[in-house]
Amino acid sequence: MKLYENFSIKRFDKYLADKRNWDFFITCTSFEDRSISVSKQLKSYSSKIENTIIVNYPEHDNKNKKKNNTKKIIKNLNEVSRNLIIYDTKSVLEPSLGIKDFKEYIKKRSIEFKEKKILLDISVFTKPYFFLLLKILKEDYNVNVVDIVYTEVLNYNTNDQRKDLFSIGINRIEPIPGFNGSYQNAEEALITFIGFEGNRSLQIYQQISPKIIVVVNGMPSFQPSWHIMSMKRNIEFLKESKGYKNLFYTPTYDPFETIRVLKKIIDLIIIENPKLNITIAPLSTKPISLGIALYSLYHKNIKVIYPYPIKYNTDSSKGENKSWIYRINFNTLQEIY
Amino acid sequence: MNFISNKFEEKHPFDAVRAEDFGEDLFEFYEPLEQIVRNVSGVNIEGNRHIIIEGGRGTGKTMVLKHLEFNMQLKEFLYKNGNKKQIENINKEHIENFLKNKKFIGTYIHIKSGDFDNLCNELESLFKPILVLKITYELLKILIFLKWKNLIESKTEKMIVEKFVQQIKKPLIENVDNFEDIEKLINDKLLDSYNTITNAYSTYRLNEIKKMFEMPIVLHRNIIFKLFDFIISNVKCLNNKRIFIIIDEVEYLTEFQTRYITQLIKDSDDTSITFKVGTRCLPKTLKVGNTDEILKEFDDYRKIVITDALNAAHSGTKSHYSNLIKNILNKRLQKSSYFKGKRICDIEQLIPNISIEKEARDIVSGGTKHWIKFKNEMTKSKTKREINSIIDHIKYDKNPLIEKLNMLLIYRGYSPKKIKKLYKDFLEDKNKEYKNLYNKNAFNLLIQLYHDYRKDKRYAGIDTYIYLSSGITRIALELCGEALNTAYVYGYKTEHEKSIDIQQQSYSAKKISLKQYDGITKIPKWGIKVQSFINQIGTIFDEMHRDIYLVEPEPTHFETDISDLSDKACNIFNAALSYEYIQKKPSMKPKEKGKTKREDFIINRIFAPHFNISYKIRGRTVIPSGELEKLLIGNEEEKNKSRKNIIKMNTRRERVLEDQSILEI
Repeated sequence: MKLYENFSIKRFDKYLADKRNWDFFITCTSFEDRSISVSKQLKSYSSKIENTIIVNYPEHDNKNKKKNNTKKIIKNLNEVSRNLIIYDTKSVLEPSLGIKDFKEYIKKRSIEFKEKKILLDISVFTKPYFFLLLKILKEDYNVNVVDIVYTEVLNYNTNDQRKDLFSIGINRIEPIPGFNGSYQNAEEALITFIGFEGNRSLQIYQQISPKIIVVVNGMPSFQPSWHIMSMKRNIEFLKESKGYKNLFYTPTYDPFETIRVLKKIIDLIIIENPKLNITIAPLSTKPISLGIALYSLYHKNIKVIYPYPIKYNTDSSKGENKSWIYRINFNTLQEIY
Repeated sequence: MNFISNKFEEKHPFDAVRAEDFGEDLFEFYEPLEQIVRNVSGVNIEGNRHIIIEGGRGTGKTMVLKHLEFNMQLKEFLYKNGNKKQIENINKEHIENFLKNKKFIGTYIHIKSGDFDNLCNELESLFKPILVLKITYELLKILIFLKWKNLIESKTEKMIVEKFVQQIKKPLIENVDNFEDIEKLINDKLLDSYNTITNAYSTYRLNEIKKMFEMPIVLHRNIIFKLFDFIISNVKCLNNKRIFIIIDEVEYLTEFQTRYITQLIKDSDDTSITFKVGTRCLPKTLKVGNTDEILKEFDDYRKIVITDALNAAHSGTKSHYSNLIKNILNKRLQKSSYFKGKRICDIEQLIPNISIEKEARDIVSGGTKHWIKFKNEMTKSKTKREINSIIDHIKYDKNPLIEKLNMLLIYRGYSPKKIKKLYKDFLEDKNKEYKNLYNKNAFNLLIQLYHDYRKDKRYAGIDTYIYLSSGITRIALELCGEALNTAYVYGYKTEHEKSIDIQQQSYSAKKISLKQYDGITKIPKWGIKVQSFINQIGTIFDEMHRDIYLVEPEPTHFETDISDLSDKACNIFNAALSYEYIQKKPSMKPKEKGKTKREDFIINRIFAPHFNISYKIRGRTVIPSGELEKLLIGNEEEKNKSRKNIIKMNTRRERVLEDQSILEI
């Protein structure tokens, strides 16, 4: 049985063509143009949403870009959603605190997620936040099925020669809370899913000093040549780590194939080195990171490490492209693992 | 499928640069630097004192610490005694012989980034039992090995197990009879419980967690002091030995976590335990536990700054550092059948040195650009006839550096006749004054010669590479590795040639220099600011290298006072120091009488190719703290102004041409 046969990946607009409804729509505001895409599509296909939660991080918004996007999201959703809540998190860089507060907020409002139809737009959530959101949906609210939606970017500002494309500087490199891995003494195997920020891959590699390094690049990529660009922007890391010798590929839009590739890599590592600690660095696309999150939720000994930036870049991406919807069924995942 | 780790490769013997790359074979590649450190700092790494080794990435700190580990020591002992058996296959007698000669057994813990980051705030106290359990786990591996080799009796094992179980108050421990059971208990139960708790803390409040899980209660201090002492007293083959607890990369710990380690160091005086700690950068004060007490160097521990020690071993006429690096590189060549087969076993065959005189001749090669510049300068005060006469006196085609020195002496006011006599005597080895001047200025003059001909300075030869490495072993390896890789790209084969082309060597040095310069931005929080600061300093030195009067030849270090810096400037400066982009050097005597000593710093010499400056530690530049502050946190305009002030201040031209009369011919 192929793993991905249990799941579905569909173009979001085509999926919406048949009238759809959800009990909850959880999304996030951002400077990025694509943050409004899902709300726009929900509106144009007249989908029905019972409750919308818009998560809002505190960020400098000098050009009022985010403010304008938020207005547009609200305007779109006002036409399809019965209730709309804007939830302000305290900090974008402290996801654990943010999620604990979010849980309290949900509790105070007596919101119940169990057995509800949930749509989660991960396009502009930071990776630690959506990892933790998935974790609480599965473990705390016992949600069985979640629909995840993701909107591609039309173009990245790749003329920018800076090695940090989406974010500026590194504040700290830490495991994503709740994905700490194990305290057991062992050398590390580092699996780095590379993206466009080569500085981050290199720095993680240097700080982890793994015994084995495996590199996974996204291919096919969302746009032709992006997979080459990611290799190019990681050249220093690939050279220093010799990660190019253990190179794998996974489609940039497919979390389920990512799970299969990840499982294969980890099985291979374990056969040779059963005592190694496995660390994963999700520096690639959100759908790939979704695959990593789903795998790690079922393997508590895996550490997912993330380089928290000093701040996120506000003009790294341009426009919006296709949106994809992924149906996650935690019960089916449980059976597979 | 086999995963390839970054291991030693025959055709790329310099590419493996981390201790982790060698795994169990580390000892075969290890070049001891203990003796150098001992000579310079007077500290014996293998002695009974607690030691904190400070050193940035690639300095060899992990190599030194890992080398103290029980397995490494045992393997090295067997290897040196001609026994090439695997550790698993050796007998009781071998181990007894090894232990007879050893005063310690080492357990090694490598802290990685992110290992304990989630033990913050309300969970911070969990760090204590977790660390102690991890150390105990490592010690158990040694005990289990000794047991398998019949060096621990079952009665002793039982006593130790019993003693350990007494230290675990929660959860209730049952069916633990031997070392293997403890090992399992630590990994599968205790550490796993802590793991579950910290994972839960990501989405639950502490009060909720306390209701959900049972918190283990481990008497960690009893384990590390009493149990470990008990083991040393009761395991016969370990009697009177010390347990070295080696903890590497403690810079990844929080202040609370570091304080726990200092507490253990402070409290372990009358025990069998010695701590050997490795860190990138040591805070100025090491507070003990939750008190205001401070861990005192000399009284409580000895500190080794590894790059300082290696740089000191590289200064003056000492060649310890140079030999160490050459030995490391030669060992790699000798281990590679590709190079050994072609009898390339010495790094000087592969990356030979070239003299600065040859370099100068190569630049000039029949050209006259350096004379044109001189003539232009002279035209300001001399007639054409006078200039030609001066040139007749100071011209010496065979060595352009002598010509450049003669020009300098003219600028400085020496008479052409005197110069002619001086250099002629020097050529016959009769004049010390000129010899001193030549030795002091030749390298900077070589750089000026490059400027005259609008060429980039070459950085080639193994001695140059060793200078550029700035006491950081990994940089030397990277330079050699890059040179070899570049040579392969251009078709290098050991069948055809032994040495790598000079241009390719120099190209590689520039590449690594740029890579290091780009890498500065990776410093958390301060990267961009530090890079800008290094850029300011490099630009100042570059300008000063062009000074025709060469008031201070080869300016590569600066004297300043950092005590007056603002907090922000201080943070940036300290970040540059902790990442070795700036290195501290022993203070020199003040330039003027009556002034107090200030602190001396050098820019990491790997930046020399990037800024086209010298890589030696020669000329000192004074930077007042106010100007330093501006270079660190000023705006562009302030930085430019500050740079100009510093250059002006350090190239005082009034000293020059003080005796006009001697210019007469």
